[in-house]
Amino acid sequence: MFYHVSLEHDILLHPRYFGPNLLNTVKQKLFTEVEGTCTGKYGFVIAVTTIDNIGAGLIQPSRGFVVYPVKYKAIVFRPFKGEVLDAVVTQVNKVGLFTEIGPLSCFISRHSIPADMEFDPSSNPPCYKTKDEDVVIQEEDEIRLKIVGTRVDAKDIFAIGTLMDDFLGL
Amino acid sequence: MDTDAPLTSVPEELKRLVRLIVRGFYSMEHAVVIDMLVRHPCVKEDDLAELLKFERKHLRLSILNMLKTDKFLKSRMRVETDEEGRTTRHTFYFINYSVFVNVVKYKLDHMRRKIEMDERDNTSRSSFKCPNCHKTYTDYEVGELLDPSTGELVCTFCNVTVEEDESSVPKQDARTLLAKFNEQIQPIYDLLRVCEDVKLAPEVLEPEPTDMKKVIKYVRNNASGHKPADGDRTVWSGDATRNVDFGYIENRVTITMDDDHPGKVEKKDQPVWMTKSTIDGTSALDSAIVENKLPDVDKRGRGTGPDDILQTLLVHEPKAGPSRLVVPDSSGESDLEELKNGEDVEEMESDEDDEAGPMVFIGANPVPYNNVTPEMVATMTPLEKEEYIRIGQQLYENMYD
Repeated sequence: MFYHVSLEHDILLHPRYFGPNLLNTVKQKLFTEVEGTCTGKYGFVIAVTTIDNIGAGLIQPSRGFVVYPVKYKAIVFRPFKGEVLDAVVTQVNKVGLFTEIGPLSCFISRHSIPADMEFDPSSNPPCYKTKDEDVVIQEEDEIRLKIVGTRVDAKDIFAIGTLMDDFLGL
Repeated sequence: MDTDAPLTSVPEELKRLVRLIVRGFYSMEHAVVIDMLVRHPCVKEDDLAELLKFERKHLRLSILNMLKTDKFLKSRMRVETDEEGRTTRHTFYFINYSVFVNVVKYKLDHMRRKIEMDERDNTSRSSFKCPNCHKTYTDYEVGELLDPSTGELVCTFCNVTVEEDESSVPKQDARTLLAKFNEQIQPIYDLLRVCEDVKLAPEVLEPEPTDMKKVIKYVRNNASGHKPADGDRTVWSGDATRNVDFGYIENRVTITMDDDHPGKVEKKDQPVWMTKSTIDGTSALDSAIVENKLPDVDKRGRGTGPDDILQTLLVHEPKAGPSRLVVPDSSGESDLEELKNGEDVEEMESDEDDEAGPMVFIGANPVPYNNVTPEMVATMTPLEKEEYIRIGQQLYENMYD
């Protein structure tokens, strides 16, 4: 699920950037440091939309570095159990499917793939398919899945999904 | 079913729900007991044991107690006095309908929650195992194991390809389990929805004991046991209420019998009182007495033969010695006719007395006793007067025989 949230981040700036472009540099550094990261609490930061406030810089004693506290708004993606999402298949093997939902990687165990679909290691690339080859899931395919669980670390989120429900799969 | 007034009879859906639940989740023995209690709202433990042919201990310990702890049944203690005056404590059981619905809802919710829990456990079960160091990995950690270059899952510790742990593979998929659960419980949900707003009257929630004597007798007479018609759904509610009515009527029979007795005694009293009055009233010509006499005479005329009538008539005139021969001779038939009118009888008696009363001698003249006037008495000699009194006493003495 996507959220638009207010966040804070401290930018540590080398004294060499002190000059007329200082604030621009701070903004640029914020984008590169924040976008694409993941926090367990808010999920993946997709994009910074606005920078609300850049606080007064604080010069670090004995180093010369300056810390700018920045308040900004960003769009974040936080996966939840039970959520239905579109994913891209990145890898197919005998234990299941590996997929990516934007920055989120998601594993679908073969036990969560409908029983009428079987792993075919001989085909190129390897795929899961039904007997009549009506449905074939292979790499690069876009599938719809449901998240059945997430593992949330401080800096990462990993999800496991299923295809065993109505309107899931290809 | 959204009536505000509490229902005075258990709705069919609720009964079906009870039977469905007990059949689905309990043993056949429980089902039989519940069936009995659905039919007869409140039954004694002894009656249950007898009707269902259960061993009493088994019935109480393993069936009734279990249903009671599950809050399906409620029991009530009653002290009863039998014919011999001994008091015995009886436990009556009845279905606790209001709580029952809540219990079912609660338990179904628990089942659903458990299934969902299993589903979650399945996702976090250890499904991969390193053959080298025996470290296990769950599905959540698969992302860390994946070697992007080869597409293999390798142990993070010893870089050996992990194997799937077949032993932890769930027997049945949790998702299908939940779907199956929903499908199978659907009829119960439907019934629960119907029973949702049902309000039951207190007499249904706390029913009065059913008198099972009739039922037991009935079952005993029909050695075949329960008639199949009993289980028929269409006759169901009717049967149950009818049996309840039987119970009530039988309960009251003992009471009404007591009421009946005084009534009958009163009816018997009346003839006694009336016959008494007729005897008193032979002299008095009260109209009420005449009225009382009429049915009495009728009764006698109908109930007894002519001989009896003559006997009773003779009682009144044993003294009339000469007339004893005369009366039967004169008219057996006319006597009957005359009997129909009490006054006639009296007239006849007086007529007979005129002709054939005992003779009293005054001087040398014989005078019938009834014709003796006070003037004649005055003229009597002491001896004659004594004789006259003696005759009178004799006459009235016999009259009351």
